[in-house]
Amino acid sequence: MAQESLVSIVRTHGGLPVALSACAMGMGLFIGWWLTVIGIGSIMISVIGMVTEYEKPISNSSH
Amino acid sequence: LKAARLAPYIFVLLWSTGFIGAKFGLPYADPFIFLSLRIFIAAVILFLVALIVQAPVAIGAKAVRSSMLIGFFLHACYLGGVFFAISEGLSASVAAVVTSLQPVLVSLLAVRLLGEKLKKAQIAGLVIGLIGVIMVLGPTLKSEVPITGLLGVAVALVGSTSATLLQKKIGTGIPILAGTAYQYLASGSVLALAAVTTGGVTIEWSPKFILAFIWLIAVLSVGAVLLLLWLLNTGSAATVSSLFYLVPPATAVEAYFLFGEKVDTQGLIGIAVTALGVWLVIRGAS
Repeated sequence: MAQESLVSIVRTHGGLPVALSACAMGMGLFIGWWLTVIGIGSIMISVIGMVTEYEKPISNSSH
Repeated sequence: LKAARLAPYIFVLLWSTGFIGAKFGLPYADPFIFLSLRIFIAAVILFLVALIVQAPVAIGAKAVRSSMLIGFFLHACYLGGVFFAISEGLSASVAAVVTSLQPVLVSLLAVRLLGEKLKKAQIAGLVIGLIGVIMVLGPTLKSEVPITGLLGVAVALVGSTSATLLQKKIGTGIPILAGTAYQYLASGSVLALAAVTTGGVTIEWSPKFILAFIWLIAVLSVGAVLLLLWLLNTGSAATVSSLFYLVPPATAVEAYFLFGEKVDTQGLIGIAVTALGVWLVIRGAS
């Protein structure tokens, strides 16, 4: 779907993407900065996904 | 194990890196303008995300007012107070110990204002947690205590306590993305005013500062703050507040790995004692 965003995808998986992102960030400190950068990006997306998991999207349709 | 149960510990991990980020960033910028800019950018990000994921943005005048009030206490008073105190020469560890009184204050006031009930084990956990924090930070508490710095950290303590109770009392029904963005708009304006009033509007855009800045926006202002508000919406104020006890030990462990700052035996015992205290509070709530 065109309106499907990354945030919408991680919404359906609750806390798991957040945990994985935090792991990536932490491991990045030992493996390399590139992994930390990926972790930072994914933690933003996954946290937003988790906290909005139960918020209903605004309906665009008028019917 | 449901992965969302890890959220409190991920919150502690993310929140604790704020002190590391501040340590990297503060030498290159005046505190209030640093905070203000960080918060305004986070507000823009959250508004954009809310639009992208079709979360509510027009949340009503009452919710906007409530969000702005919570934001004033949480970001302007708490963050502004801590940054001001440290810039006035108060050591970060003294600031951490004073602000660590927050869980005790929140728990006591939550009983009175929110009708939350505390079991004996939870009260014991709060006391044990505070003892643990003092043990972790004890060896670093030898610095001078400037009065203005102490005032700053007192404002921070009142701010974080009020914000936690207000979020629980009037903030739980507010859509989290837009609500947080409005919090940032209000607190960013207050901090910008503080920056202009004090004349501290200098920022040196060095690579180190930019990295710290990006870290603080993405990991703290978006990740950790959203997790904190979500935890407050779904758990009790006392339980969530007790997590703040774990922040100084987590910072100590991070400082060991990042800067080689050693944790002595007293610190290690303090970390264990703190963890025991938080476990007692969380176990009592479940």
